[in-house]
Amino acid sequence: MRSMKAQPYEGIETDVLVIGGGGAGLRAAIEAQKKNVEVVAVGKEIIGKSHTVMAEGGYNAALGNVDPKDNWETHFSDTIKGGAWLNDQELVEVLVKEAPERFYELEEFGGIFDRTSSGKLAQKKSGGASYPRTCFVSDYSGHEIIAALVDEVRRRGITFMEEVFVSKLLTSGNRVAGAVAFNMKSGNFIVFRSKAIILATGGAGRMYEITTNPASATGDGKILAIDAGAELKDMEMFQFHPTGMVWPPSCKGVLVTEVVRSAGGILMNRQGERFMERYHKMLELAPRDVVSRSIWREISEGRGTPHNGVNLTITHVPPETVKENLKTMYKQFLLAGVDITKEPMEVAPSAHHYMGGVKINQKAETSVKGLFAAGEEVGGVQGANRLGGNALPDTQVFGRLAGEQAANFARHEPSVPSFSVAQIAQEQERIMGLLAEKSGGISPIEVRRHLNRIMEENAGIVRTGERLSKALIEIENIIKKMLPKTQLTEHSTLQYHRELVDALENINLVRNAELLVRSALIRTESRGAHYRLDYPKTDNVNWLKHITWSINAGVLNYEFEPVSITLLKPPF
Amino acid sequence: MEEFKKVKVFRFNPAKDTQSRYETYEVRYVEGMRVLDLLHSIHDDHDGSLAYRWECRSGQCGSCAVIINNKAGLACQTLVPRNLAEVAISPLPVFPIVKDLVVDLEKGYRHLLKVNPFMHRIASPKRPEIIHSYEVEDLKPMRECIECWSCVSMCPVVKVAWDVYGGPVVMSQLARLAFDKRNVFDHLLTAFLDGLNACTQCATCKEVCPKEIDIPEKAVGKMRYLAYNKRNLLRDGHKAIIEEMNRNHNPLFELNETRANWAKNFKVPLSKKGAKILYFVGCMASWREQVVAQSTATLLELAGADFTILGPRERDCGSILFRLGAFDLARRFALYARDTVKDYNFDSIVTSCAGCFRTFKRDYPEKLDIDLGVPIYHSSELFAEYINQGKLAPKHKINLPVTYHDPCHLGKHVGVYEAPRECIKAIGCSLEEMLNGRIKENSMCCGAGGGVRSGYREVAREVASYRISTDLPKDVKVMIQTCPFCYFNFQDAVETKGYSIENIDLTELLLIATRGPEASKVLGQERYNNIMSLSTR
Repeated sequence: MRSMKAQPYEGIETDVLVIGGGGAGLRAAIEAQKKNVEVVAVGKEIIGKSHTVMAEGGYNAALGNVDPKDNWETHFSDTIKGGAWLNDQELVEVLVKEAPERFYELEEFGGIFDRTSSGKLAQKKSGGASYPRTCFVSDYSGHEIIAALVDEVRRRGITFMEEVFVSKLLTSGNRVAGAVAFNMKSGNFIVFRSKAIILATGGAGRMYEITTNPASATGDGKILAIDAGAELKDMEMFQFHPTGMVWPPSCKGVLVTEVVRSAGGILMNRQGERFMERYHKMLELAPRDVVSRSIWREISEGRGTPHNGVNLTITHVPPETVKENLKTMYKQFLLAGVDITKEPMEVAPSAHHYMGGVKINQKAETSVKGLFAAGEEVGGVQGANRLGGNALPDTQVFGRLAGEQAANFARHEPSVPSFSVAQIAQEQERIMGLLAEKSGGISPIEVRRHLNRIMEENAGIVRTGERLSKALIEIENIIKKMLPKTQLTEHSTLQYHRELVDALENINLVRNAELLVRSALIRTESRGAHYRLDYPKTDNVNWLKHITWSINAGVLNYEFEPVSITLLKPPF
Repeated sequence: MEEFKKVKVFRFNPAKDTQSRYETYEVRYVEGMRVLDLLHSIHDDHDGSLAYRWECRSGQCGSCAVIINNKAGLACQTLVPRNLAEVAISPLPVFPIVKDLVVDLEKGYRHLLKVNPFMHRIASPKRPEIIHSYEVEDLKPMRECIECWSCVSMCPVVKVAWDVYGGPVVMSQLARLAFDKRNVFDHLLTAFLDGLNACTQCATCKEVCPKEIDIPEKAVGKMRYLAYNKRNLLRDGHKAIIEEMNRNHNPLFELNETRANWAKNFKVPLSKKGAKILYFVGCMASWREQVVAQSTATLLELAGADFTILGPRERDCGSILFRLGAFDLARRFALYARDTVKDYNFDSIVTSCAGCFRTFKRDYPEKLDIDLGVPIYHSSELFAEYINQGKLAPKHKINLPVTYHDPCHLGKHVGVYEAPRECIKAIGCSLEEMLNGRIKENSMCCGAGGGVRSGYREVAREVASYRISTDLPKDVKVMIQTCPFCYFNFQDAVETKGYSIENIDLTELLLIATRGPEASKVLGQERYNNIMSLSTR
C-alpha cells in the first residue's frame, strides 16, 4: 500500500461535536452546553436553514388545551397505532411524555405560538390524532421553532460552524473519536477530535425525484453512523406525504401542509368525488400512509387531474381565514398562479420523512461508544408511519436527550481517545480522488437523476418484489459502475464546490437507497408506509419485528430484532 | 415552439480568476419557471462548477437570495419574467464574494449578533404561560424574518454607513424583541444606538422582503414612536426640530411669518378666499429652494388655475414628526390642515414637495385616521394634466439629455411615476433613466428621508453621493428633481464633493419651456443662462 500524505487541515478539539443544524442538532447543542461541556455544532447549511425551518404543520404535545381529554397516554396510543405497531414503545414513551415540556421551553427561548382565546397555546387536530394536539403558528411552525432555537444558540454563544460537510467519523475501536470534514466556504479540511458526537443530520428525501425535502436531506448521518459501527433499523419505512405540489414543474414535490386538511380541506378526484369516503373513516385526516395510498390509487386508476394529482380544495373556508391560517400555502400557490381561496390545489404524494435510521436506546445512545443520535436520523420512534406533528417533538425531545447524555458521557471521559491518523489521510484521499481530473466520467447530477428515477419508479408508495429487485440491480450498478466514475467540472478547489458535495451526497443517498430497497425486499408484508402490492396484508405473526443493519468487517448484514412492546399490547 | 432565455450570471472563482465576469447561458424556458430553475439548469446542464446556494425551494429558508435584474430576491420565489428575453443574476452586494453567487454573510451576522438579538428573562415563567393574541400582534410579523439578507443588500444606508446603521434585518429583529413584553432587555435603546434614526424609511427593504415585512413603518416607525414617546430617545438635531415645530410650526428654524417671503416680488394670491386650489408650498420651497415655489406659482398662474397660497397661515405638513414618531404633535398639524381646507372650502390641494404629498395622502389617514377630504396632487401630476389639456404649452423645447430621480415619497410610497416623465418628455428633454435599474419602484433614496438629513447629515450626504456616482447615466449632467428635499440633499452632495452635475427642479424646466427667455424673470438671469448653456453644450 502506498503511503498517504495528509492534506493540511484545521484541528478542532471539543467535548461534544454536534453534526446537523436543524431542530434536533440545535437542541442537542443547547443541552450539552447547559451541562457545561465544550460544544461545537456544525451544519451543512447556514444556521436556521435546515429542513426543520420548512415544517409547516406543527408540534404534537398532549397539553389538552382544546380538549382536556387529551393526555400523554392517548398521544402514545395514537402514535403507536399510526406507526402500525412498529414503534419501539420505550422510545415513544419518552417522546410523548416529554413533548409538552420541550414545547414550553421553545417559548421560553423566545418563540411565540398561536393562542386560544384564553391565551393558552392553541392546538389543532392532525392526521391520526384522537384530539386536537398540534401546536402551531399559522402554517410556518417550523420557522418559529428554528427561530427560537437560533435565539437560544446565540444567547448562549454556542459555536455553530456553518456550511461544514462532515464526511467521515473517526473511530478508535468501538468508540468515536472525531470527524473529518471540510469547510465549504473556505475549502479547508477540518479534523474534529471529540469525546462524544451527536448525529442529527435529518432525512434522506433527496433519493427520490419528488420530495418535500430540502437540498441537504441526503441521509449523510445514517451512513456516517453505520460506517462507524452503529446499526440502522426500519430502513424500508419511508413516508410519502399525501400532498405535495404537482405543478409547475419546478415546484414538484413542494409540501402542501397537512394544515390544509386540518382546516377542513377536502380531497376530490377528477370526477369531483370525495374519494376518502371509500378508504377510511377519518377521511382526509386518516394517517398519512392511508391518504397517500388512496391518492395513488385514484391517480393510477385514471381518476387523477391533468397534472397527475388530485384536487385539494379549501374554497369553502372563508378567504380571510385561509390567508391567516394558511399564509404560506396561499402565497406558495398564488406564485404558481392558483388562488386557493377560489380554486383547488392539485396535489400528489411526495417523499417526506424517513422513519428508519440509527438505532438508539432510551438514552439516545447508539451501539458505538460516545455516539448519540436524534431526530429524523433515528429509527424506531415513529415506527412504520409518522403522524403529522410528531416530527418536531421528536427533534426536541431526543435532541435534548442526546445533548444531555453526550455531555454526561464526555464529562466522564478523561480525554479524547487517540486514533489512527491514517483514517484522516484515507478520508482526505477519498475526497481529493473525487476532485481529481479525469475523463470519460459521469457527472454527479447524472448519477442523482438516475437514482431518483429508479427510486421513484420502483421503491415509492406501492412496491412489489419485482420492482424492488429491479431497483436493487440498478443501485448495485450505480455503486459499482457509476459512482467510481464520478467526474467533476472543477478541480482546483474544495471551496463552495456544489458538484463535489453532490458527489459525496450521492454516495450517501445511494447507500441509503440500497438499505431501503434491501429491507423492503426482505419485509414480505405491508405495514404503515411500506406497502407491497404482492403482500398487501399486514402479517403480525411473522413481521412484528425490525430489520436491523450493520457492517461487520466491511460486509453489510442484517438481523431481525423484536419490537419493544412495553405499555400497549397489540390487540392481535 | 421552444423558448429560451439568455441568462447572464456573475462568475468568480478565487482559486483561478483574478477578475470577475459575466457569462451568458441559453436556458430553455418553461412556463412557471423560477430563477432557481435557471440556476439548476445552468449547473446541471451547462457548467457544473457554478456555485450558488439553495435549500428549501419554497421561500422558507432564505438561502438562495441573489440579485435578479438589479433587485434582491429569493431565486426560488422569483418567477422568470415571461416578457423579458434576458435575466441577469449576481451575488448580493455589500458582502464579500466567496465564489460566483455565494457571498460570505459573516459581516452581516456580526452586525446582527452585536445587538443581542434574543430575549432576556429574569426567571422562567410559570407554565403554561398565558399570552393573548392581541399582545403579540405587532411583533408577529417581525418574527417572520428568515434572514435572507435581501433587505440589507439593497439598503441605501447600509451601502454607505453600515457602521452607523445596523440595517433592516437588525431593525426587524430588534422590533420583535422591543415589542415583546416577556423581554426585559432594553432592545429599544439598542435600536436607538444602532441607528434607529438613520433609516431613511425609503421602503426598499420592504420592496424586496420575501415575507413582505414592513420594516420601515412597522419596525423602525413603531420603535421610533416608542423611543420618543416612552423614552425620549431622540437625536439632538431631532429634539431641536420638535421644539421648533411646537414654537414656529416649521422644522427649518424660520419664523413662520416669513413663509411667503419668496413671493414678495410675485403676484401670488395670498390667503384668497374662494380660491379652488390650495398650493401647499411646504417648508423647503418656502425657505430653502424658493425657486421651486416661484416656478410652481408662476406655472399655476400661467395655466389659469384658481389657486392661493396661505403664507404665514400655512403650517408645516408635519412630515418630520411622523418620521420621528411624534404622532401627538403631528396630529395638531394634521387637524390644522384639515380645518384650513374646510375653512377655505378648497376643491383640491397641490404640493410641490413629495414629502408633503406623502404626508397628506398616507400618513394622515393611515396613522391618524385624518382625511383632508379633497384630492391631493403633486405639482407634476397637475402640470402633466395641464399640458394635456393645452392649459400649459411648453413650446420652447429644451433639448437636454436628463435623468430623473424618483423621490421615494412620490414614487414607491404613492405610485406616481409617469406624470413627471410625461412632463419631461413634453419639455423636449431626452430622458435617460438612472442606471442599475434603480428607477420607479426600485428607485434608490436620496438619503434625506426619514429624518436622516437632520439626524445624520453625513449619512444623508453619503447616500446622495453614492446615488450620483453609481446611478447617473454616462454623459448625462442633469438630474431632474420633483422634491425639494431630494433637491437640497443632492445639491449638498454636489457642492461638497464637487460633482459636475446640475440639479434642476422639474418646475424650473417647465417654466423655461413655457415662457422661454421670460422665465429668467422668475429664475434669475444667472440660473436661466446656466440651464440654457447646458442645453447647447
